[in-house]
Amino acid sequence: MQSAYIPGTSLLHRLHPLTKLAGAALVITAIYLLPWPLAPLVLFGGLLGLAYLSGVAGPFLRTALRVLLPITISLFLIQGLLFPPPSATPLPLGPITLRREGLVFAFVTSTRLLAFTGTLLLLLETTHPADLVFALTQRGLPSSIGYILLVALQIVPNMTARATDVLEAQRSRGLETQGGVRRVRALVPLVGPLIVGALVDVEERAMALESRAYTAPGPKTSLRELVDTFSQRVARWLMLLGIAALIAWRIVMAL
Amino acid sequence: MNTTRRSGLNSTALALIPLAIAINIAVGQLVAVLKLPVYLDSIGTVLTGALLGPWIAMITGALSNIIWTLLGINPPAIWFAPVAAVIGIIAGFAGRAGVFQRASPRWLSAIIVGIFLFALALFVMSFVNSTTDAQGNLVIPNAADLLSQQPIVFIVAFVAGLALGYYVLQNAGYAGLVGLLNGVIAAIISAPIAAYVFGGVTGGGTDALVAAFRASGAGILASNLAQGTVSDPFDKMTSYMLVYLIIQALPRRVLQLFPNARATEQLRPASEPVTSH
Amino acid sequence: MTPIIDIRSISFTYAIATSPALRDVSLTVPAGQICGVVGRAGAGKSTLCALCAGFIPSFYHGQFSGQAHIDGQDVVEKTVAELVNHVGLVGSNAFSQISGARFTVYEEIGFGLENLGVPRPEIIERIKWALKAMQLDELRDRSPYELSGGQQQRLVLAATLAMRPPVLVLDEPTAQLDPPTTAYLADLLRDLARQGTTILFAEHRLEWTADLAERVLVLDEGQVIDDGPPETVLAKQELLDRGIGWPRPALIAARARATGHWPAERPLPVTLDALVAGLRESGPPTTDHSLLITDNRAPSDGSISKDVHLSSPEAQHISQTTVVGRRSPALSDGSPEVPPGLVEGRSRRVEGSIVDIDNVRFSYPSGVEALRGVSLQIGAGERIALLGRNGAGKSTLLRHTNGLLQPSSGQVLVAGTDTRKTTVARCAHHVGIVFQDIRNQLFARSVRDELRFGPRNLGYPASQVEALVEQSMAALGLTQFADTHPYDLPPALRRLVAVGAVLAMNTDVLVLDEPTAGLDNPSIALLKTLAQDLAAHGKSIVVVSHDLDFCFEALHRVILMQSGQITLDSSWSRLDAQTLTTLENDVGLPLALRAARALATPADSALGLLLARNE
Repeated sequence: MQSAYIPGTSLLHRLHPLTKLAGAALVITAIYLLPWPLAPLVLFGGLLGLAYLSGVAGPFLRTALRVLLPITISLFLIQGLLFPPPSATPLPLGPITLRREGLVFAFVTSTRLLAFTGTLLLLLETTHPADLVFALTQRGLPSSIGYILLVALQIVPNMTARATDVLEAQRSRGLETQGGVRRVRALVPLVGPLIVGALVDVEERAMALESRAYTAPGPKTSLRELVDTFSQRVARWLMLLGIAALIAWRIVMAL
Repeated sequence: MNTTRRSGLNSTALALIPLAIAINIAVGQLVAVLKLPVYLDSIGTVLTGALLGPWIAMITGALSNIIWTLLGINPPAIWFAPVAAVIGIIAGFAGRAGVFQRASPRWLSAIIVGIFLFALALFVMSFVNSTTDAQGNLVIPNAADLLSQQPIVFIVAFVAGLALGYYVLQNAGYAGLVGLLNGVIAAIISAPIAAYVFGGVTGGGTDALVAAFRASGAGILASNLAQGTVSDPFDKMTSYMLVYLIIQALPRRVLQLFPNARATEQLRPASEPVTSH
Repeated sequence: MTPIIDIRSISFTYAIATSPALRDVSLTVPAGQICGVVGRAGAGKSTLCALCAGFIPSFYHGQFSGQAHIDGQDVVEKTVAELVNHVGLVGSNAFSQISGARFTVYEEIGFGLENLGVPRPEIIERIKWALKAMQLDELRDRSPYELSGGQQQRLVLAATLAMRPPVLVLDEPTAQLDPPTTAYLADLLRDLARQGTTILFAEHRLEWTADLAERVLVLDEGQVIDDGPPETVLAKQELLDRGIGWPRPALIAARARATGHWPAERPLPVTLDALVAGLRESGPPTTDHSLLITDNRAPSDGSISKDVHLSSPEAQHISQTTVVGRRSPALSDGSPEVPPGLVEGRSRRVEGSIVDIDNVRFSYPSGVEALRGVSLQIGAGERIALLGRNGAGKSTLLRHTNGLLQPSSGQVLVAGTDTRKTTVARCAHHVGIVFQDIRNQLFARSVRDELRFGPRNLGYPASQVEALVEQSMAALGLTQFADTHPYDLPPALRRLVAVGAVLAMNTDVLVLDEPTAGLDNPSIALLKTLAQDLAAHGKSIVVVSHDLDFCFEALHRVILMQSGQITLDSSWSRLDAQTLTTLENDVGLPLALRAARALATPADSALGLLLARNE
């Protein structure tokens, strides 16, 4: 399996997936609705602390930085330094002049993205994808959507490996993959086997699905079990109330 | 006892969608290895549209972006799930209309891409030559002025389009055209998301284009729109073209699973006897 | 007693096909029987399997007539899901039969039961039973996708058995398995039958079929042409006439009969045990033949004659001809002191070898050292079998022969050029590789187009491309399918298309990875002829395969890899007791050599010669 999940036994790991999902929804609402520019950064700090307590701080920081560093650099460079709004307040700093609004925009946008990414990462790193999907299907997500998500998660590594194998097979047949126009011509023999091979697989996979009674009528049962508690149920309702309250507050403020 | 809801997807669709999602991701990475200036990361979605129609392709597109998030590779990708869903819907309707089955004459492909590149040049030149007035509003120059000032740009664009259509798209003109339009629509939908959520940048190579449009005085949203309409159509055109070529060469055993993909001349009336016993 | 499988005059034509896949097939199988189905590629075996599991006509549409009941259920009327408690179908490709929706072996087995709505405690109980039955207990928490092919096959069987079907249908169960796993599967299936499961399987490996089945059904062009116990059915002349072939014990005994080692009145054996018992009874004849164990066919003679007796002088002559292009000191002199194959060849340096691998080491970025000092020369006109267990480094070595991988240390010369200083596309002029998973290669809309791709890439002029394509199609019997889509051919022929696509590149060396996987006997015979013809024209063939019988019968030189090193480099004809043991302990031995060992036949006896004669 390839996913963000990191096995563990921390409190966060043991919580019901829906509790974590509700928590994530509350944090994301706060990231985008709280009016203070420093709020997302503070929330990210909190997430980092939780990640540390759950034993996933390392991967958490690595992924967050890998995804967001290039975006942040671009943001500050393009929107902050080079092309700030024309009416922005100048902030002289030595030989160069910075523009206040441009920098604020870059700061707010990047910290919001950072906190958003952090929230999802923390959820995914402490929740087994099968538990998350199972919890959602129990709450009405069509089981086919859950099935698609779980299968896709597992076969992505295989398809990626096949892409490499196709590249090897066709290069062995003299396909030149270096240099200008030829690379575009190489797309059909490279993408073709990947797709046609997958489509031929569809027949066998569909047969397997029928053989395993996926399309059988009547209710399904589940081998997987999730632990839920009364206090978690209460917490979930409170968090949903919190989301509603935040939204209501912002609407009132805007009026 | 736990029970879950069922949906109307049949086993063929259920088997295809995860593979299509994986194709989106795997082809995206393959293209990166080849260092080509396209992404092709929605080729599986377009394929699903061509084979199984708009709604299944919509699911494929949206779930693809959710998978990017679930895999932890690119968590913010989930923001663009609506764009991917719309790409799927358009590809699905294109599939129903038969654009992946119908061959276009090469001259028509040439004219289609020629006109498209001409229009694109006009669009880009308007941004590049725009000015800002005293109130800070953008002033877009008159199209006729642009044409008369720099006719060479438009001639080059038109001729390049003719060549691209004739030599690259060849008989995939209809699919290519829908791909180009799909690219424009995708750019229009993704521009506000890119502007408001991502501040108009991606951290990748296309940021240079955004910077160029910002330099010409355009706002963040407008710059993103301009950047998207320059890069997305060619990406989607290439995806549509590849799907067209692949569908033209499908074996009969696959066509049996996906009746939509059969060439138009092979389609028979609905009364065709399939099973009799 | 009513039969558990009851099929009456079934005919079926796929919606996409023009001729019927099954013609008036009737079959009744009593409970607990193991019934094998044999026939050439495209004979209708898979269709029969699909029918028994209820996929016809609900999944595969087409023209249908007749009646079929399995375990009392009308498989024509019922859906697949309604039949899962009555019949389970397992195909050859375990990978695509894993649901993928469950993350551990344990949960994967339970997937079907969840879908049926079986209560949780019972699911757990049935999973435990299936884990035990398929001996998967140790793997229960592993991801299904991390398993080996054989383990995945067992997982799919376990998941199917957990639904408790009284009938199990297997479509080419051994196509993707190596010899130890194949033997293990036969034991598992025998166990299941003993516990009452009825088993119907379609298979190309006739020896395996003869060993396992209590009854064999022969299909040809959609019709049942014979039905009975394996020992009477599988050695009938009609099977040879129709190209289905015989199990190897029957072929060997037929040869023995011709030389007086098998009594004319004794029926031909279909299993190794029967062969050995029969030969033992007829007594070990003595002979003055010299030691030579030979390839029986000279590259120059081209045609295959079944009854050539290899008297010494002829054998020597042939040996000399096979030596062309190689530098073997001892092969042609008939001397009894054949040097041991071990280490031999490592120090050989050949002028003019096409591929020259010199002391190559290679480590993957993960740190795994896959090659640890490998030296190997491939000369002109060689027929090489590259053997070794999974993970021994065979695939890594293959990828060095055309520059796909470059050595961490040491060097690889292809036609005299260091692979570090050239491109894979340029190496492709000299070395062509057909990888095991041919899906990764095929993309064109017709066999002809597929074959054109390689030679066009190499820059041959159009007329030459066409000539090469025609030659290649003719060599592999594909001419009649030139305009057919490769994927519309049966899997066996599809693999030949993949081989043909590389053959058409007319390279000096042709490398084939598991070329006989899923092939029927006529296709395997084509590959054997191809190997001979290539060698006769000074071209070389390298085969990586678990199919030792094919390697023995079609190839000359034997190379064994163990943990990233070449530990044996010799020829079949020069293996002595020690090297045979090395080979047997690592990858096993071809059936003929197993018979020779079981009989303890001296290699220099006439019988020893006969057994060791590769054909």
